[in-house]
Amino acid sequence: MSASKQYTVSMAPHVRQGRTVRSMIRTTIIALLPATFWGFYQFGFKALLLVTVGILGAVGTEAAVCRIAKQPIRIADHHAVLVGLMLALLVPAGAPWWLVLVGAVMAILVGKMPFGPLGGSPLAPALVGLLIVAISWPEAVASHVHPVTSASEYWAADAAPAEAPQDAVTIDPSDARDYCSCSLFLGSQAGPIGAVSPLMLLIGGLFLIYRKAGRWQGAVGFMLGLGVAGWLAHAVSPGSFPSGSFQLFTGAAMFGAFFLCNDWSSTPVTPKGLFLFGLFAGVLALLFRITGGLPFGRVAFAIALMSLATPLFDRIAPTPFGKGVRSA
Amino acid sequence: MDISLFRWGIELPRADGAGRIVDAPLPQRVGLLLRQTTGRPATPTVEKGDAVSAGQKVASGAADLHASISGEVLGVEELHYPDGSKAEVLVIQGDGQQSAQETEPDPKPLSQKPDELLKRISLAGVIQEGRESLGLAAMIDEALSPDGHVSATGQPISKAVEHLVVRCVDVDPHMVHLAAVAQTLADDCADLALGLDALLRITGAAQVHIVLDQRQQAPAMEALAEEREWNLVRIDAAVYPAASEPLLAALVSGREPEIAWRRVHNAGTLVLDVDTVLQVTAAVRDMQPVIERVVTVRGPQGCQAVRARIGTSMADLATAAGQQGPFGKLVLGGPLVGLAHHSQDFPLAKDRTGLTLFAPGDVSLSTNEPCISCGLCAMVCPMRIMPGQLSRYCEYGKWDMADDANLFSCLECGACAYVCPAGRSIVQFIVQGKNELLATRRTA
Repeated sequence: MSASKQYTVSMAPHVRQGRTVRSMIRTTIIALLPATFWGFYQFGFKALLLVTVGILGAVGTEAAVCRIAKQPIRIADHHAVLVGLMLALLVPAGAPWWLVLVGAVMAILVGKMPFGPLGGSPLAPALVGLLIVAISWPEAVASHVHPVTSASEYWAADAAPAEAPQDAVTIDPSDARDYCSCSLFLGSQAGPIGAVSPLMLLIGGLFLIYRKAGRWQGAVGFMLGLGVAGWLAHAVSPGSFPSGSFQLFTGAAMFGAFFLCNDWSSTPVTPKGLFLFGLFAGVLALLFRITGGLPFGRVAFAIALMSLATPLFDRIAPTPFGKGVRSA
Repeated sequence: MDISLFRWGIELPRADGAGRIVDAPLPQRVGLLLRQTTGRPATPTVEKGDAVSAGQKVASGAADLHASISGEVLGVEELHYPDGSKAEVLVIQGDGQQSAQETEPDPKPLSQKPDELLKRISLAGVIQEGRESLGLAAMIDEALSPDGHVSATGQPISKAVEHLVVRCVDVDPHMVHLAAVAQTLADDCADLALGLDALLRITGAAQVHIVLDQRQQAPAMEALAEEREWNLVRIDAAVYPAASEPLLAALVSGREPEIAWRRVHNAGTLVLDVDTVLQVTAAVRDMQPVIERVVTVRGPQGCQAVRARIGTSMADLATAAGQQGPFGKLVLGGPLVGLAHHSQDFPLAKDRTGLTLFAPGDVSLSTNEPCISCGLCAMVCPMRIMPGQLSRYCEYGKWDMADDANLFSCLECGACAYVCPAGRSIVQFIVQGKNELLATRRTA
């Protein structure tokens, strides 16, 4: 035939939705912004500093590792930013800056890069970094501080140490009565920078799910697991265990539900598997809390432990179309 | 417990441009693919230099081929599919006269024996478009054959046709041709009824289902369905691939057909496009063979249903629909399942649903980044398999693991790759895996 113009060929489909990994990560970062800004507002300049250190540490480490390993540098996909941000949001504002830096470096160095590009990590990289610093410096990582109350406190380099609600309750369960659910929900107590306000996390989490960068099954499963188990424990022995809403509104519970249960590579793929993953992680988090040997990061430990079982949850796949067992 | 929020599928914007069908001008030359169906190519029954009239039989095979324009046979040329495989094409140079074959209509086709009706369908070369394009007569014949077919799970599959399904909606919401054909039947669907009656007579089906989009206005079909006690099924055609063959079969019969290798084992359901039924009408009443079909032409200048002769080249088809280049990619079929061709000389076959043209800047390139396990593909997969995982198995040559993970349940609808944020060519990996496995089984 004629030597006519040659056209591009490829397999179908020839149209795509236009979403990219980069845009999904960006959506996740945007979903974290309400909680981040609430953290800045609550804990002042210290929080801003720690978040900056976390992000720079993670991005710098990824760039350096890629350069040394002669791999293409993929920091433009924003994933390192997300890892650094998540790590910083999970530590209290009183933590020293070097601790966040070490956490961010380890998150990328140990939690992400050995498993190749995105999608290979068996644990969420931010969790790996957090658990490493939590085990190495258990006291420094748990340096909770009071929220700031004045402009001078806002810019201060340090703040008065405070006791996080979860820690107080572990020592004396009757303390739970001192906390009002409304203020806990708004987030005006001591706690990790970005996990202190369930309201802000809920807003961000709903945005995340609405934009389909995350799925609701894991979050709902986790909240059900933690909440229902918490209520049951409270119903059995109100004196020794705080209520379910207390469990949901303190510590990193809501952060874990929406953001750690939606880390793509470390959570199950199937909707049913993801729901059960969240449910089990929620119950496990409650067990860690009420049997409390851990001084910090109970939710993080519970989700990390469940992540190791992700390949098993992935086996809970639906029956393929037309493969249903038919009765004879 | 079903906790997936969306059962499956992707919701796409409906194509506008449905409605009027434009008649393409007669092409100066046509190329008839000798291999229109899966199976052996047809054998030409005319010689180079022969004069043929429109509708004259020019090749015999699994489905006969007929000259779609009148003119002179230029011989058999060789074209290439994009994968390099050869396609033999019988080329006819038009004389511009359009002298048609004389045929004598049968005023009472329904009084004929079923065998005679089936023979007329076979002689007309009617093809039903699908994953495996088969001659309709051969398809019905196989469905009615007495030798029982045994499924992979060992269950005998009932082969008699119980449900006859007429699809009046386009499977791909980007396309408009079936909706446009259905629109022509809005006020008078006597032709449709005749074709269905003939098919009922041949197959002995117990129930007829007419599948319409929930927005489609079709008073005549509603009246017909009521009068004949046929089932009118309304679906949301914007959800892809709700109108695909296995999903419609499951919808009307309540049984999910088994999918093995590349075949949908339909278990008693025959799904036909509305224009295929009209071709049946033309075959049994007017003795008219298939020489044209209504297709969708989509491109930078919009979307249009076009009635074109079989064998029209992509270049002629684009011109007929008022599409202007330059183009960067030419796809025979719809944007979700069509086949991209490297040259605009490739002709329209009977089983192609249309032509999709992309401007150079609109060609989407797959980036094939690593899978991030986000699970979006598993959420949209109508076959409830895990496309992302399968694409990983196939990427690394783990064919047997892919087979164990239900590789062959895949419909190749492309919903997974459409939503994949990593831009992975999931369907390409899956098709490669299927081909590798089929090749090893053939040699074993």
